[in-house]
Amino acid sequence: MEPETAASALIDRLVKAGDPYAALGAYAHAGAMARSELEPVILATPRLRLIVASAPYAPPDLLDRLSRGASAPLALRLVKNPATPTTALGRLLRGGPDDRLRRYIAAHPQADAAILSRLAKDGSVEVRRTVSGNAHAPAAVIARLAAEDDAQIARNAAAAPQANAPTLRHLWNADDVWVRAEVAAHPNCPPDILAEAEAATDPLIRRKRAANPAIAEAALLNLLADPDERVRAAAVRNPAVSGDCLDEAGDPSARVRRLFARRSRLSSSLMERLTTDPDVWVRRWIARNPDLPRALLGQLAADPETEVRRSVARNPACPPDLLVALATDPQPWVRAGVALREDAPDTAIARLTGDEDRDVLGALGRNPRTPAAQLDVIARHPDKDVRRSVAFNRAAPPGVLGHLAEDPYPLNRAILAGHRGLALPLVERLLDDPEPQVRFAAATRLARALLTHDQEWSS
Amino acid sequence: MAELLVIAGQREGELRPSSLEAIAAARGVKQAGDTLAVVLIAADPQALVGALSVEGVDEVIAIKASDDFQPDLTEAVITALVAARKPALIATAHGVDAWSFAPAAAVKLGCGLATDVQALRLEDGALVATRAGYAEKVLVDLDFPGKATVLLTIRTNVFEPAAGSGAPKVTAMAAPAADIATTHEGWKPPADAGGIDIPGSEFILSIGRGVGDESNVEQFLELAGGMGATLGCSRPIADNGWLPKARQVGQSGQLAANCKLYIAMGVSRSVQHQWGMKHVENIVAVNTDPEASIFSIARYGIVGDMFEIAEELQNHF
Ligand SMILES: Cc1cc2nc3c(=O)[nH]c(=O)nc-3n(C[C@H](O)[C@H](O)[C@H](O)COP(=O)(O)OP(=O)(O)OC[C@H]3O[C@@H](n4cnc5c(N)ncnc54)[C@H](O)[C@@H]3O)c2cc1C
Repeated sequence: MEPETAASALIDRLVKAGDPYAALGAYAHAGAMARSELEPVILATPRLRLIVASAPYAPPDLLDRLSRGASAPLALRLVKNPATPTTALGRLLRGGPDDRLRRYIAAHPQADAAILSRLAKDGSVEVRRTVSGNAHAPAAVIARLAAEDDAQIARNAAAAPQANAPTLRHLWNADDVWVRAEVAAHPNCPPDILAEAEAATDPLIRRKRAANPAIAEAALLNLLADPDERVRAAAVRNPAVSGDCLDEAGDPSARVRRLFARRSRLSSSLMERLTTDPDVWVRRWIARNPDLPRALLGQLAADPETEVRRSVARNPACPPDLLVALATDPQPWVRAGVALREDAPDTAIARLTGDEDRDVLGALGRNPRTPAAQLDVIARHPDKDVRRSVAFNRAAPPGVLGHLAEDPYPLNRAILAGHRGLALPLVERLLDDPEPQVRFAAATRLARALLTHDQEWSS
Repeated sequence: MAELLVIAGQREGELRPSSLEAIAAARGVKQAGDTLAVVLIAADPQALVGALSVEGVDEVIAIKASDDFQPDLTEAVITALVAARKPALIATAHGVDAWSFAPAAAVKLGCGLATDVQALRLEDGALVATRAGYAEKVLVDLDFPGKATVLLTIRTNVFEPAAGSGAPKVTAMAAPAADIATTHEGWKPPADAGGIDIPGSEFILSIGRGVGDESNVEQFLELAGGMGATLGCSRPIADNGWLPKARQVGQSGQLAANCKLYIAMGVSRSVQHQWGMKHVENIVAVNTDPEASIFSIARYGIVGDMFEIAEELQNHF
């Protein structure tokens, strides 16, 4: 069939079936004409309109359409839906909504600067508080709100990503310890306040200061030597810190050493020390560190703690010979870590063939390196969760996927319906599945292939 | 005056704890003048009478037979007791044993039947059973007009196990003849969960897709360890292979049966996840989305970033 004919046949079929779930699946990929045919099916009843208005998977254009002349219950669902676009929010706001609706609009992730500026002047303090907590509120809005004498707005404003230096200074001077702590953590905090925060007697303020990504080396070294372990921990966690600033001797606190083990560019002597740390969590973390040399990874691969060996198996730097050795680890969770690796050598995968543990089989089922014969066995496993893993495998051959299309477990068919490798006639068959979730996924997949002519999806 | 029967269960001579839950369900609808009898089939039923002597139980009907569960024998016992005693209610724990005899017995005897019952009450003297429908999306009340006997399988971990002491009389009953069609091959222990015990844990910290990436999972294992909690997860986390399947909470995972405090971080609350945890008395939800539906079942909600909250919590443990 010609692509155009196949596409219009699909729309005809969906319209004729009158199935709102399948029609909704196709809508996102449909052109204007097809959308106008699908809309009466998707929005056939008031109940369906309410369902669509609150569905985060509904296409934004459809939500926008629903916002025109929306009744109060429909408007409420729309403003609560994170997928509702800015245009729809603006339209609903112009309609003069009540306090509750305005509060939802003020909190909405799609509310833009214009909407938030307008709501920052709202008569309700609850609405203004909500604006101050919206991460998209622009600097001028935050500055205006911060001038209000309201404790909650002050805290929100101090943590607002766009708060500027003058606003932060104003907030610091208000002398509330929680607000000050947020100011000390803010990347736009002025340097003189940072210096004051560094010397603060309250460890909360020093801890927040230590977490500030805009940190100079001298301040960092100071905070890394702080008597309070929580302050040192925050400093080590700071993304601006690199391993070469850390004390070679480690830290007396295991909590801080656990954070050392997560940093890159550690000196080799520190890595060695952390590898033999008595605290198992330090060893678990260092075993995941991709900078770890082969010899230390080998040492940790023989650690008596299962989770340390699992960490080695998940370390991207784990060499092939260690993966082969770990593929015969007595603990299934370690073997599952190897089975999940797309870079595992064939010998490691071969060693896992015949493994009966469900976590190992589930990991092999997902792995594009697993041979087709093994995938076929996994796709027929009695455990539905094990079978499902094959539906996530982008390299699963069509024959194996075809078998899964018959799976009695609906979730497995729903996930499979979105697989690029599933032959289109089989996807089409899933349009008649008893489960709405499966029909939705099948229609999405078909629409992608037939309506967008996307080569990758039209196999 | 009605007779209420509970079919108790045992494994290798040990009473199944769910039997006490089925007793509690039946006891909840017992009226003055009613009698509650518990039926027990075991190699040594006398050894289990003590465990069944709880408040509200008037009689233990002891049937000596093999400890190996036999659906055909259980069905024959029910048939004999319905003929002899005409009970108004027969309750038993919902599970693999009940699946193999309860529907068959109900059809054969023309009883009313409801499976996986979560609540039970009397309305104008008539039984009303509540069970979930449409993949746990709705609760359905069922009544049984015109049915002299109603057979119910009771969902486990919903009713508080019957306690308090009682002094039931013990009636020995000979095992009726039964056409045994099944053989017991032996016991296979459940898959090794590697020491992970979601059903047994009183405190669970669960993570969902909000965790973002496998490399972030470890810090929540560390946090859970520090707090003395068991780490649980939603289905996508287990499907990705980031945590063992034994940690998955929900309809296709584990039931947080004994949990008293459940902290859900970055979990949206799908009906399927909820299946495993909504009964927990103290649910704390952490989610960046103030509209996340998990907040509607949470006792305490924090609108916030799970990583920030986790870091704050780390400072306390
Ligand atoms: C037949 C069937 C059986 C199923 N069985 C199960 C089961 O047993 N168990 C189960 O869990 N699921 C099960 N599912 C899957 C279920 O339907 C959902 O898909 C799944 O539970 C969603 O997982 P989630 O909540 O982790 O993810 P999502 O629904 O994606 O939710 C993630 C949440 O994290 C929040 N978030 C994101 N980032 C952050 C952050 N930084 N801080 C805080 N919050 C954040 C988001 O706002 C969102 O609410 C089953 C499905 C079917 C059809």
